[in-house]
Amino acid sequence: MTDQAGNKKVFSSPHFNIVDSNPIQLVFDPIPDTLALGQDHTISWKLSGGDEPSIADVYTYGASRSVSLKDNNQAILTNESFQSGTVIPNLSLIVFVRDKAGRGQYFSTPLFTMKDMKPITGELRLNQTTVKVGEPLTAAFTIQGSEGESTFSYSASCHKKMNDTPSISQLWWKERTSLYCRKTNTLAQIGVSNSGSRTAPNGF
Amino acid sequence: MNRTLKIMSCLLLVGLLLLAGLAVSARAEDNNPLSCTIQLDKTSVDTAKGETITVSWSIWGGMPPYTVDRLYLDGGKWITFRVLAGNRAVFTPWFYHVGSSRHIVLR
Repeated sequence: MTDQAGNKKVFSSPHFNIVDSNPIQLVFDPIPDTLALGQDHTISWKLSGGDEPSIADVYTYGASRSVSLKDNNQAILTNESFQSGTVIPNLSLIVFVRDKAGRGQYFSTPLFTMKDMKPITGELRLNQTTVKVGEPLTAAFTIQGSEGESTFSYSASCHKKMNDTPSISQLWWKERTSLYCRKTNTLAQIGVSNSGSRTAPNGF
Repeated sequence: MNRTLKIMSCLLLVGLLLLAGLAVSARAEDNNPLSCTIQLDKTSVDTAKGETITVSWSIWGGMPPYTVDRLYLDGGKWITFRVLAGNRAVFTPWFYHVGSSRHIVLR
């Protein structure tokens, strides 16, 4: 405040409390530490207090995960793909509740933490690196590092080596399947590569 | 020359008087500082019940009249007061004001 002489001062009142005797309350039901691989999971809670509270938003913090609200008391957390070796610290579920009186409150619960997944490793061995056209080439490979049911798909390309019309044929095979380079009058060298991607994260 | 001297003397005198006035004013402020007491009609307000809290204040000292620039909740939160006659105002807390040891500031 200011007086006529231009003196300014600031004053404070005694302390007081502002309370809400009917707060919104939300208690999460127990959430397991680990969930079945590749399955959706329903997370439920009990909502009380407030004036006709309802869920305004539900989402996860720490990872991109799909959550859909089932009703005012539960949501479905759906599985998503994670890169191999992904670690997600402090993964949590956030629920935002509003009520008719104008209250708005966030509630959160920690979710299971993704374990450090074993990286997928693979070894591809050919019985020879140079083959004549028409000869079979046998590839043997081993894949390690995945946990649980996983789906693998590998491909190989047949690259031309000699001066010839380019012809890259994409070949798909399963374990211990023989390959053929279908070109004539030339030699072809098989270029090999492998890559792995996890289609289901560990623990969920 | 003589006239110039008189003008300069007058200016010097006016300056001295101004300085003296300021000094007196400062001493007056020191001896009678701007003061205020603030009272609340309750120590706890329940937002769920739509309760209000009335703040009243009394100012003295300094040099009246006084001007209250604004009232706000601690932490600088702007709140809307309904100003009443007789240095009083009413504040209706909202749910997001909930907290302990709150206080109102007069500035």
